[in-house]
Amino acid sequence: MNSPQAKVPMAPLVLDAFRLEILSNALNAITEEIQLTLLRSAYSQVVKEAQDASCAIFTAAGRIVAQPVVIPGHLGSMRFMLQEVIKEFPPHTMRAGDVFINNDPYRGGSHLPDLAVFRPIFHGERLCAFTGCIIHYADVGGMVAGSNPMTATELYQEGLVIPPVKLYDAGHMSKTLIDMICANVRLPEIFLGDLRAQEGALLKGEQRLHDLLDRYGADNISRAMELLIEYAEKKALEAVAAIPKGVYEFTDYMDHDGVDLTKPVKITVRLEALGDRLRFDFTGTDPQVKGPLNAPLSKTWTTIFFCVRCVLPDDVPFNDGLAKIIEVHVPEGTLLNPHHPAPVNARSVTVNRVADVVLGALALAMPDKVGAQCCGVPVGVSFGGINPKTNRNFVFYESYNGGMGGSRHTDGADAVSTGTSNAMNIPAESIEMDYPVRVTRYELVPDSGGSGKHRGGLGLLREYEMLADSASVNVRGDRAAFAPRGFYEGQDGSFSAFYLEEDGGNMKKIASKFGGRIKRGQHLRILTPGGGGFGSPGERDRDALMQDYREGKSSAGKILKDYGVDVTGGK
Amino acid sequence: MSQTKYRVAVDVGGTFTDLVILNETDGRIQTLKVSSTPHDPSEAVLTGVRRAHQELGINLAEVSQFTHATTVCSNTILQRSGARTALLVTAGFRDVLEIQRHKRYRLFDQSYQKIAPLVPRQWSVEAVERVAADGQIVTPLDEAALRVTLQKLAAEKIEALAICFLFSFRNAAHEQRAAAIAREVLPQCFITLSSEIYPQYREYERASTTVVNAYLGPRVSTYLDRMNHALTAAGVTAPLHLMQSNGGIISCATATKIPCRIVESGPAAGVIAAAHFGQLAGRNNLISFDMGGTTAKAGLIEQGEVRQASGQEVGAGINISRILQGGGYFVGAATVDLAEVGAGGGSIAWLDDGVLKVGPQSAGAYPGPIAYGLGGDKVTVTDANLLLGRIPSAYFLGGEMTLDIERARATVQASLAGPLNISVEEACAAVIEVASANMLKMLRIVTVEKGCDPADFSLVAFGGNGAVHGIELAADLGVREVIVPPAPGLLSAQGLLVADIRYDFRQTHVEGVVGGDMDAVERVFRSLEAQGRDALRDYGLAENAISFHRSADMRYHRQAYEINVRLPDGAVDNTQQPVLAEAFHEAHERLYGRRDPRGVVQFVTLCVTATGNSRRLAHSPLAKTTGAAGAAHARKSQRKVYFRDHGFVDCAVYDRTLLLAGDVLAGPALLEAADSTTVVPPGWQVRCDAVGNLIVTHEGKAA
Repeated sequence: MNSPQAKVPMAPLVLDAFRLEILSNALNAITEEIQLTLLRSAYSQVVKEAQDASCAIFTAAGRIVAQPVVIPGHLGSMRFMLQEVIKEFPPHTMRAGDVFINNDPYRGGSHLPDLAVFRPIFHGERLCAFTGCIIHYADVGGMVAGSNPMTATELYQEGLVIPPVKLYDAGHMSKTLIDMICANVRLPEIFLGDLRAQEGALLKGEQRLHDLLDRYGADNISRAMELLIEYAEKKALEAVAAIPKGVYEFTDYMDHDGVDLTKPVKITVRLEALGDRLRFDFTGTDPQVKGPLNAPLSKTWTTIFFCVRCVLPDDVPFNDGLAKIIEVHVPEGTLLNPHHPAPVNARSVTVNRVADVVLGALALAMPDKVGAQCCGVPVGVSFGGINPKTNRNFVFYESYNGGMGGSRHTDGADAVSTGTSNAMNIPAESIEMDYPVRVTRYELVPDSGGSGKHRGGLGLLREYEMLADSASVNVRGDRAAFAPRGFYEGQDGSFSAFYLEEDGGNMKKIASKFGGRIKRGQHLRILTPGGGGFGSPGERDRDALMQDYREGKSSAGKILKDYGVDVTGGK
Repeated sequence: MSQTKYRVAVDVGGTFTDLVILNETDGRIQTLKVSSTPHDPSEAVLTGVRRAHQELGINLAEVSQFTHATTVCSNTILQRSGARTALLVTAGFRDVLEIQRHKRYRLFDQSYQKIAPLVPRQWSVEAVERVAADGQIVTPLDEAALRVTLQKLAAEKIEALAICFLFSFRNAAHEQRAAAIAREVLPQCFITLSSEIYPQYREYERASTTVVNAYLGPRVSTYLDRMNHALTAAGVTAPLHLMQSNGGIISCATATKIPCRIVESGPAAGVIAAAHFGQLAGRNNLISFDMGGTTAKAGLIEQGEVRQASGQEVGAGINISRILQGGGYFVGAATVDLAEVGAGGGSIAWLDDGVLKVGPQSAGAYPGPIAYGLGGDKVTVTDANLLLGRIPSAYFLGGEMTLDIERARATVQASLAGPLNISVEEACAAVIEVASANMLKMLRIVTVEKGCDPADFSLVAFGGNGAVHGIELAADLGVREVIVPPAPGLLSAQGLLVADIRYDFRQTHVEGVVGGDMDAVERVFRSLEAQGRDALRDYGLAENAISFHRSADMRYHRQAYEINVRLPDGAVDNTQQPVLAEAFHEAHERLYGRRDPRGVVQFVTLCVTATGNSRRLAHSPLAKTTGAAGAAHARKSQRKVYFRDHGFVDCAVYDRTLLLAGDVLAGPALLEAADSTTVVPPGWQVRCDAVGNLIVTHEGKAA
């Protein structure tokens, strides 16, 4: 008599199309469960409200096989961080119950607050997979609260560097390591809360993977993982064959490196579409900079991974198979492949510009698939000081974007996370309940989207009032000197702008990368860029112009100037 | 005055409007199905009511209770046909609906668009006022400026106004004053205050809830007024009640004020019915599995209580992933917690470069499965079931349709079996296996992922297709017992007959548990209970028919996601701090696999559910069987039916309507009835209980 529980023979399992689909769903469901556990049980604002956290399941060789798509910027980083763990701890030395951590930007990481935790998954004696997750920590020490000093000139100023090390040895936690870390971060209890959330989430993942391994057997699961990657490779190869062969070049700039405010920083890419792969060559990009805008090599790779996925058909699975069609060359000693110990904490600005040039080059190859340039910068704002209500340290950090670019199909979305970011905003009510900070304005910026057949999305304005006596303020922005570009005769989006209130009440313009102090009652105002427009403004639909005017998203003056249309009816 | 003896329930679905009529004197239930009339759903309701009178001899004056589940809210949102709605917010925050949560829900989409706000930006207006996080007034309300702003809206012929000020859940004075002024300036306007509809923190979620309510208000009023008049004209004098998303019923008058709470009324009714029939079978731990034509839904009932979620997203379609939610409109209203997947009888099977997929596209009722012959030309789950013999080809919907099996076979061959180089039967089996995998994922979400072991639960299978797939899914999930209630295809309507009157009240009140002021917590609970007593007063319930349940959304300080924890019903005071904290530690450990003994436990939102017990439903018992083995009196035929792991086997076919209480039979078996078929695989055994539930258990295990 057949038991209703054991449906599938253990081996050999015919991994036909529908059973692969089932296993793929099962693996994805596990990553979703890990992700939810992470988000729901974490402590820091960045994770719980902004959802700046990601997870994945890897093969025993460390290749990504499943990941919920949440924060594009994390997608590839974990892959490199795990590779470094495997280099340091050869798989035959690993045991069930081991847990590894790593945040080293020069060992696969991206910047110090992004701390990854990995867990090898065994079935019996056999290493079958890894689960891993990454969280943006509120603080990992260093010279400023939030570990994002715009004035850093070397890695050591940015916080505690944790190379690939063992956090748990066969289930036993390293108290030495934990105590060392806690002595070096500003908010140890929040740090530990987040670390426990990561451990708990991976434990959940392990339980689920064990269920799957028990049911199908290690051979079958390992084989299925390989097949899922091979399937993605096959789909990616088909898709890349459809990209017109040729050479496409694109260059863009950042305002400055945060230290020398007079000199723009250049990023350039030469894309060769070769039929069987895409080769990205960043030769010509500026040398590494003194300030923290340098981006570790893994970030460029990750960003390309994301951008390429954007232009491929929806049915190409998002796993390691995609790597098959991507080749990257970045000269050493440049902004995108800096020498140790160059500072890197503000690399998310750089990464978004890398996304801009990569998408720009792809747009030349496939104009239907890519829109005009997006806002292009996740503006990061942090405050630190003493909370007068609790007399304890507080560290506040959040980041947000602006308009998306218009595309061949639609207007750009207004005020949304763009590029490789995908953080949620933190509710003003949540901020004000937890921090001595008041949000006084949170609005769209009218006229900030580039004009075009499809206009760019609007940027946003966020204004804060400080309620503590005195606090540090750090702003990490960009695009105050180089606006998001319009494509195909579409006009550029607006610049960003940053203002800090002086004694006496005047709102003084500050640089896009800024560190300073703010006093009680003073305001900080941030305007993020709108997206670029797509197509000639003359082709814009009249009803759409009327709606822009009615909704106050574009002024009558701007519409008259850019589109030559009087929407006021002569009033 | 006539005697009252009938309870009538009407569930309006997309395709059919179901009526279920209970005769209270003998417990007999009669059912009617009429085609829905989407242009005006009340038309079908009236048709049904008239037919009940004409065909079933129901004296409409003898109806004591008339309960209704409606899709009018979800349709109004999907079709964007709600009121001309304005939003009044704190100065500086007019774009709260435009910005939303700033996240994009389709990451790789270079043409990503947010869902368009229900309030166009020009009608999103600001009031000069500010309340701080502790409730102190920072900037007083500028009344003169507000009047000017509202007068401009009056010129725009605004029908509804949502008012949402920052921290109004702490201090509602400004919202209340603004509403008073708005009632003067906009006397015809439907007004919703965020501090009344959803007094909780997070301004986007609160504003969205307030706006959805205002947007629905005028349309729902019109709909319910029309329904009331028509029912009165038809001779129904009983008051109209509505099912809420939380599974409780409320009066028509209340529903008119808080329509955002009846958005999911149909699906909620199904889960309530599942709980009811499960309890009649002596089971308190139940998984509800509702599979219809387009989607399948799963919910959970623990210790007799239906699991609730505190909010939902509407207007953005089905999305099983809870991480990248659909980006719809958030509605903060207690809602029966359902996972949903695009797998129903009409779900379409297709090949994606050699990979077989099922759904989420559905052929629906029209053009429907190929075999229906209504023009459908894509293979559906129902076609696969037909070709495998699992559902009858001659008895479908009581024989109202003749099915074109050969056409279905040819299409399966051409579109699936041929390309995959397998037989038609193997292709059909694969379609069912893929659909089952999707549904299994959904069933795991409501059980395993919430820390519940499916082995501790019985699965209640219903909806037109629930009993076709329920038993095999139970086996995969590790569930040992399946309950198929009577008339599973009309279960939601039956849920309307048995639901309690129910009101939920919530108030954000952040307070540490250990070392906090429990007297302040108790005061909030008391005020919520007083609101509950007021709300239930109108129903004429005896004091002992009213009950209150307390719970709280709690967290470790610094976490942002709260867990709803059931609290003892009695008053709280400072001596209970350790007990209250432990209740949270336990819940956290169960959900996330760990506790933080040193963590500071906090109350965030306090909740009270006020319930008015409706009269219990007394079913008329089935006649007892004489004990003939194998229920031979109900057996009507035999045919080859495909079962996974067994292939085609000879299978006995029964007429379910002829089963008697106590009948026992063994799988493989098909139990056919007009509204649904039950597929019993080999190794499973069926017992019919006194109310007509089929109790399906695996052989060798106690029922």
